[in-house]
Amino acid sequence: MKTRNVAFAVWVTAMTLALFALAGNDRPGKSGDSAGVRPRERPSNAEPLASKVGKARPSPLVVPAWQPSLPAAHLVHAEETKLGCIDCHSNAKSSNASRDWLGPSRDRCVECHEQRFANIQVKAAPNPRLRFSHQRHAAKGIVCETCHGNVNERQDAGSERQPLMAVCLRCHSGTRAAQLKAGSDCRLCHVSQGGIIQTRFKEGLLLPSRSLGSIEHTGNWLYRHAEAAMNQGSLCLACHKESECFSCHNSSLRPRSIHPSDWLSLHGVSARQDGGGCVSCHRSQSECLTCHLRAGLSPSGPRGTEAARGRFHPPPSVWTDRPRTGRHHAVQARLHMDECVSCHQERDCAACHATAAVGGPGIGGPFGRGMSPHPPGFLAQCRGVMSRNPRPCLVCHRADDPALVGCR
Amino acid sequence: MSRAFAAVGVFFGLCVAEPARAYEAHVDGQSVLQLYAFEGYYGAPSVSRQRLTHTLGLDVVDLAGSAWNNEPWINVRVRMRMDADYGISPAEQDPSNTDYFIPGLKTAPVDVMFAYVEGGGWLHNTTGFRLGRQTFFDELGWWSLDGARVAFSPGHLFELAGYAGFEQRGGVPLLSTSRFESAGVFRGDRAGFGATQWPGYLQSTSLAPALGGSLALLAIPHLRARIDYRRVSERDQVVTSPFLDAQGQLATESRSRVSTERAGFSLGYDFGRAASADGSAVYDLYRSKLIEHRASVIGHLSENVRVYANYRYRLPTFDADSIFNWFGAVGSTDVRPRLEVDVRHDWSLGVSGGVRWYQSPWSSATTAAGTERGYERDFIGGVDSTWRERALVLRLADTAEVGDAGDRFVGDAYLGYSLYGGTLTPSAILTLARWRDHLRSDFNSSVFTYVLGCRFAPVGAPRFGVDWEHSLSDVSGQRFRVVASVDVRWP
Repeated sequence: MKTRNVAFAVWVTAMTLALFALAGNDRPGKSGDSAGVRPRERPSNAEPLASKVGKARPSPLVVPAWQPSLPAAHLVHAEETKLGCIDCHSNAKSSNASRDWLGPSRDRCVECHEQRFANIQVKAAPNPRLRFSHQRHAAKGIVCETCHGNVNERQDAGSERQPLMAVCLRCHSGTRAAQLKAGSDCRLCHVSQGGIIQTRFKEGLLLPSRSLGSIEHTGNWLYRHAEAAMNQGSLCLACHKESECFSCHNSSLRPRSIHPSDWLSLHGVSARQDGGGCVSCHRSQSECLTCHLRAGLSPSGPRGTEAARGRFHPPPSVWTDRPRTGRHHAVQARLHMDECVSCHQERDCAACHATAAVGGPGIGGPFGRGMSPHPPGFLAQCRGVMSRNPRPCLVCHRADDPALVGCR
Repeated sequence: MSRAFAAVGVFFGLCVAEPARAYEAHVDGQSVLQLYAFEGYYGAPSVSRQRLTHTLGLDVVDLAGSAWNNEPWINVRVRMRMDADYGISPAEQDPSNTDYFIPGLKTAPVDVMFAYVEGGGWLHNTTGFRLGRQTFFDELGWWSLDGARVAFSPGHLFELAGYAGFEQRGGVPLLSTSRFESAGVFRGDRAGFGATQWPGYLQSTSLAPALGGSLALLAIPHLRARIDYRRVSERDQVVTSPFLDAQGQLATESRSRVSTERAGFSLGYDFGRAASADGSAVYDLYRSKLIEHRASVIGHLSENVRVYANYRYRLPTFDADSIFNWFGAVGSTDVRPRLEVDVRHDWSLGVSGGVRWYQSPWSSATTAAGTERGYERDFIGGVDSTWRERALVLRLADTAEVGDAGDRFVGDAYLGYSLYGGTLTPSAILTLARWRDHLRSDFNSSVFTYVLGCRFAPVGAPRFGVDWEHSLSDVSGQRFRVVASVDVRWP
């Protein structure tokens, strides 16, 4: 049997590698292509793209790739002609929208470069997907260099030279946002619809960049997202509607990225392997129990008796009798209680474990041995618990049971 | 209940009828039809599912002002769902039919998943609130509340939040609902039940008071820290022992008592662009036990290579009304490293491994026949890869979990191709799986499944989808499933 399993695993792995080998032959060579945007639905983080061109640059989904018609020659203008930023970018301090063209107009260039640039057509940059007001920032006394750095050191311009989000976050996060009354809501800058940042564009999907730390949506994000949602939930809601959470966690459709096909067959073993994962989406009682009742798997449901539908668990010699092995129900229940309750109710346990005083067989019952299911050290645990909720104790014990004295 | 839905309907109408105001209104809906049937391992009874699910959502945002203008803002968000299953037979809903009756089963239950008014930026940009039926996701888990939450964040130093209301409880049989349901107790309205009928189905009609709070640190860039506390009380009169007493009655308990009481803590830090680390822990104050702790580290070896290490310990914990807390459930520990490589801009590859084990305090106990093993181990391995071209997506995933509980080997391949600029997307999924159940070797099986589907998403129009799924198994034979969906969105 083991040989078959190993062979199966090898085959599946080989299938994967073979498919990729075949696929690789037809792929067009685009290795190292860092320009432009990534294919549709491809994560478009700014930093990974930036790395391939050797410098960080904003996401092309936010600031579309663009190069000016002419080199900006910032260095020459600043050092040789002693021009200030506003001498060429004359609209910068009054602009109230990111779509405004803030580069020099042809007329402005011609004032000094009459012969050279008389016939030049200035190519306007595509509209960034941002809300931004230079006027607001200038009115607060923020100078150009605060965000754009020392552009005099650069000759070039274009989308790759626009400020990164990390620059914005210097003022738009933490206590500094409050001190400057700058605000830290993502929608201050990012274009939103319905109170949610727009992330789906025809060129691709805008995802958090690595400047946002652990919430960068890399390959296994699906597995990791719970932690981010738990301690940074409000950040998630900047881009996601709450209903998106429900589309998996409370879905009418099985998410295939979580559960592969024919999950109905596979889920039993999976639940026993990692039952804790199931309950993040599934209700163990109303959902799991009732389906198992309906399917005849639970002892309380249709054909719930062994005589009617056969035995589900291993034979009594393994499951209930001594000597106990790892397959014994006592061991299995301790390890997999999450899974037990998907078919069994309290009555099924109390039928053997309850004390005689409440109607169970009690210690020394029909099985002729102590039946307490409590773990070692239980008395120390239960002390004080009864006062907070006595109900579970009273399932198996009467209120005046001397055994409960230690728990009061 | 019907009045509540009528009110929601009127609200929807009012909001949608006046689009000329400054606020934005969005309506979306989804209808899904799923047809399938399956037999138990023993043949009949078979379960027939004829599910028709309608979901309707409304978002009205920036009713008072806009965050863009640094103004206080108010949003309204509502989502409701009717999840009907026309495969349910009358016998399953008849309490007198003790052979087939399933408590709480309804043909077409309607669920208000959430409905709340929220605001932010109030009182000099220090205060936010949320009022209504709302969902929480924090270290303490997925949870839902009918009530109010107020958050106060002076100077963006920290956010102190408090909430109070009633736990939104009560799952719906056979369905995954937004309503919260504590594990271990099967609750619902026992109206129409005999006093001794279905004692395990506990009465749940009284409101369950809940309160809690959180404190989150905002002041230090790249550092996140948060503590949470929550307590829910139970007030319903419920059966205790399932056995009749001397008077032929079932004993009950009706005192106000703890349902859940937990506290959680999380801490995380981003080490620039190189790495980040997170950890959290949850303490159950009712059980006086640490029931969950986890940690994760992400390291960027280069721009295209990442490593992950995840650790998690979880002890199954149930509602305080349940006996299962006290049956010595043992926690599981899960450790999973992973390596991820962006081989090319259109090709990514991931390799995962790991081990999960359950360790009980009885592992040293021995019997005459040998050692009683108080632990189990599962070894986990997986390879996954995605290749995306402009119109084509190919995703392959192989996973293997081998261990004491059972073995699973699953190979899954997805191929999708977009036509006409993404308007039409035919897709195919092939799955080959083999599983061994170590408790019942006669359940061991191999399964082959193929799914053929197509999405039609014209611009500015409803989106349609249909899937045909066919599984062949050497244990359960053939299974078929048809899924059809329509998504609408306005504007």
